Amino acid sequence: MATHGDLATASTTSNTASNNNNNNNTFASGDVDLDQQTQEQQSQIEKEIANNQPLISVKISTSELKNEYLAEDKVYQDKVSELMKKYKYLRRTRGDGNCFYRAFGFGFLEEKYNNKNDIEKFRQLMLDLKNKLIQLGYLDFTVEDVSDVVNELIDNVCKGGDEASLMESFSSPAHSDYFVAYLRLFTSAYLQMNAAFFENFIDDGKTIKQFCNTEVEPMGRESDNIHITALAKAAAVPLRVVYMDRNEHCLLTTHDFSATDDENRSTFKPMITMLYRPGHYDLLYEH
Amino acid sequence: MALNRISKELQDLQREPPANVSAGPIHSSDMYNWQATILGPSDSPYQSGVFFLAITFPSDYPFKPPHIHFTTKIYHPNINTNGSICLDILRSNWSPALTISKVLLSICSLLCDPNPDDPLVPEIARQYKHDRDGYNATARNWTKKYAT
Repeated sequence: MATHGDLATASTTSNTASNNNNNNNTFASGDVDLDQQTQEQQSQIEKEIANNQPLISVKISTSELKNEYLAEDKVYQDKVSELMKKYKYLRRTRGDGNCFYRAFGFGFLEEKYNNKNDIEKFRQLMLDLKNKLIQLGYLDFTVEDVSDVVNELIDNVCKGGDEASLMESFSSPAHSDYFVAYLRLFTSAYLQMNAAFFENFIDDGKTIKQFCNTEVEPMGRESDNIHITALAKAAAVPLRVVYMDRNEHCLLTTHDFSATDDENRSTFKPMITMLYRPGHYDLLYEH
Repeated sequence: MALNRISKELQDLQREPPANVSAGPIHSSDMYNWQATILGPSDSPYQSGVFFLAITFPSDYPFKPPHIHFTTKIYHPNINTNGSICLDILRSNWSPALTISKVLLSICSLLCDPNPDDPLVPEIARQYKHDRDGYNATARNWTKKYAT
């Protein structure tokens, strides 16, 4: 059994699509709003996930992953064994579609909260981002609203100066979600500013702007390689993703996302490492 | 935090009111419940109508979209008899970078350009596609009857 949350969300999303189709063809009464019902159902699922999964967990041993799969599920058991060789701990994130951004924000601050210089650099990036977003046509107060809370979160974490204050900040939905919203804007701005390059990776006829409005900025929308590539570069964070899926031809696949355009592959050193299982990202820690 | 954001939106609306649209709290003591008005766009059968909408902000705004519905009856393929509006940015495509002002302007656009391929009222969508004059006449009629 793979992780729970994002899969449930994903299937509800596809329900919405098929309901819309039904609407077009067969649905004949004007008063029942199927789409609204789907939304209500989805919000019910979200509530269940929120009750069962913390936004971010404490570190747990990677060996615990063994319990998530059946003992006779050789493909996954072998992959977990392989994972345990290099990675000692895992930190789970809630499967709410925001897992990549939440893991990214947490992983970044966990690495940097004691490094005043780098925190200041990050704040400068935030300021630059605000100006870029305003140039791109965003309303200043919507961006400020988000960056004010993120700054407050960073203040709290730096003041606390330990893992407990980091956990506390990221477990508060208001603060944690603002960080997610902020990283989504960060990703969106980078994609739009480098539209000529990223356009080649969007295959459903959307412009970069449309892609950002529908697949990056809305909360709960899942992340793909294009989002990860953009955010790693935008925030200058080298990131490694270890893929674990049912593919029987290899044990684990690793994908490195560089922080700059001219990074040397052989000396690549990730600041954050994530474990990807279909539909979900968690944080990983080496031995 | 929602309150802070809602206040900023109100200030923005007062500072730069968008054309043909107004919105604000019903009672100054309750920032979560607003009323909005939209003037029917001149290039639509809703011309010269004044349409009222009720807005409720969820407590986790802006992470969840505002709830908006028409309280004035309107004949439109994407708005049903309860006043519910079928608009992507009010549902799955909502994002914290959007505002009430942008949403109201999108609703104005929806009045000018209905989206019959994603209808909330399939009968009106069919009529809009195949009998535009009939649709225009009924929409004008309803506007006269309920919105003036």
